[in-house]
Amino acid sequence: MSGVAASSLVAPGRTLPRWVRLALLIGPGFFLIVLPFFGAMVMLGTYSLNLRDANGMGMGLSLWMDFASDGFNWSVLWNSVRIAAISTLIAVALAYPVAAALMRVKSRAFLAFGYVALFSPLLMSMVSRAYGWLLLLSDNGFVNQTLGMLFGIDPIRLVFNETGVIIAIVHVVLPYAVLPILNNMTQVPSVYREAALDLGASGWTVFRRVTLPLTLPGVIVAAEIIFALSASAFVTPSLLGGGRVLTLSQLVYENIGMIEWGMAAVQAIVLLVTALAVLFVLERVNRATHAARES
Amino acid sequence: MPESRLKFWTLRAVLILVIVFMLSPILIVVINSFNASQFSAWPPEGFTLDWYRRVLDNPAFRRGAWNSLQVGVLSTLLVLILGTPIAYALARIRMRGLAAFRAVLFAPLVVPRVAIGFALFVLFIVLARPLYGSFAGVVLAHSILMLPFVVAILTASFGEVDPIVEEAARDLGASPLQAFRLAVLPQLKGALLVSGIFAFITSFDEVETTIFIVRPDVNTLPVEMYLFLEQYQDPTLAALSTLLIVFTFVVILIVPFVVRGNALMKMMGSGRH
Repeated sequence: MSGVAASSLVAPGRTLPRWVRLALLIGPGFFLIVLPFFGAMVMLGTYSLNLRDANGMGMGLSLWMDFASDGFNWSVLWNSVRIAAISTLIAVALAYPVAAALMRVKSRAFLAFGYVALFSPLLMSMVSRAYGWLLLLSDNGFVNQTLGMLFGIDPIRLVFNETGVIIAIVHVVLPYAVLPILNNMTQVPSVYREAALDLGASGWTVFRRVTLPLTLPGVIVAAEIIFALSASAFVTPSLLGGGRVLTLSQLVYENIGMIEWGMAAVQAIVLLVTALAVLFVLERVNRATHAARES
Repeated sequence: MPESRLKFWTLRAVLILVIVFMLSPILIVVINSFNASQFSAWPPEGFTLDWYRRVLDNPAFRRGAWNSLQVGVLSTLLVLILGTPIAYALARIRMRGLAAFRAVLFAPLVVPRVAIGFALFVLFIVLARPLYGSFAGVVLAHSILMLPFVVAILTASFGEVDPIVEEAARDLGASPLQAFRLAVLPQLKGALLVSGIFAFITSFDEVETTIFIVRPDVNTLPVEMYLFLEQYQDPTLAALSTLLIVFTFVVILIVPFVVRGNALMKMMGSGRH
């Protein structure tokens, strides 16, 4: 951004004071959109502190105690974290070679096709994508029928379990993983790799000692984005899991139906904190590797 | 670049496999929308247009589509009208405290959509009962989700417009609003269009926040589809999805005609220039 403070260049007296302009520019959006969001977040916090029996009268941590003492909540939280972690690992492991391959594509037409193919699913409704995976992975769907015809094996259970959920989540988050990694790769000059190769390093050593460390920031940004997306996903795990794979976001939704609003508030906050905690950890890793590279 | 052929072709193979993986759910949905089998059996049992007729006959889908269209247009307009001045302020005004405002503005990006949806549900129920299950409530929710994206895109674009242009207009006697409208806004057409289309598509596909704050008569189309798919695995949804894919591509194809200089690729940050 080349944003020079315009007001400092304009002759005084011709414009309103800076803070008045600021208030006029920001005010409407702040009061109509930003403030309601923060109001809602405050209400969420307040609700999680309601006392279960007192009908909203009085504050306390009893709902949090209930959450912590119920092993079911922990197992569901663990489901969310595990599914998000596995999806993140798979998505990054796929996105990295995909980005590397895109860097090497010479034909403009193929490159354009690659981009469209990789990013067009973003334009498809989340529900439609989940439906597409149900069609592909169900017992009489394309994948199992093809496997059966080729190898004569019985259908493998791929939907309404964690496998299906993870496949569909990876499909949703993969574009978000490719972009930061690709962005990072384009910024790394190829001379470093060439120098290392000239000095006699093997291809694997060059990757391990030069390419990977230089592209690690892109990988970490990708992991941050897609972990947050997969940990808080709702539509995909709910439809592909068919109620058999419970995640925290589904518990929040179910508890609304059962008028357990206080518990839903606690669970929503735990969901938020989990996403933020992983962001925080990965950001620390990012800084640490930055520092290590610069020293 | 000295590099083994094996590595090159391995990478190319992974790329092609991933492209197939990314396209497969779209292809299967489109194919099955014409599949005569009630249970979407593979291979297809014959050709039919029956599922398309059922989509058009389904009152819930028709109402949902109309609701989504209204909500999408209204929230896109609201976010553009309120987001443009905010982006202008962030790009042009240097002032202490603005960094804090920026953090506040982008906070919805890190909050899970389910948490936003539930928080808004509680807010509406407790403080603003009429907003629960209303169009206004859904428009507000979608605006909260989209504002950070729209402001980010527009702030970057304001940064690319030289402030000199505006000052020249002012020196020639234009009022601040005139200078903005005549000198700055035309250069922003592309960014406004891209962020507008992005916002509309986001709104048109939103389930995870919306589902907490709607009532049946204001259900948006994706919420209606989600509830349908929870109950039935019926090829009607394949036909509807195909129609939506076509609709989205029509919306997207408007962009290259109006935006010059491939601003869309720049927005995607691919940076291969």
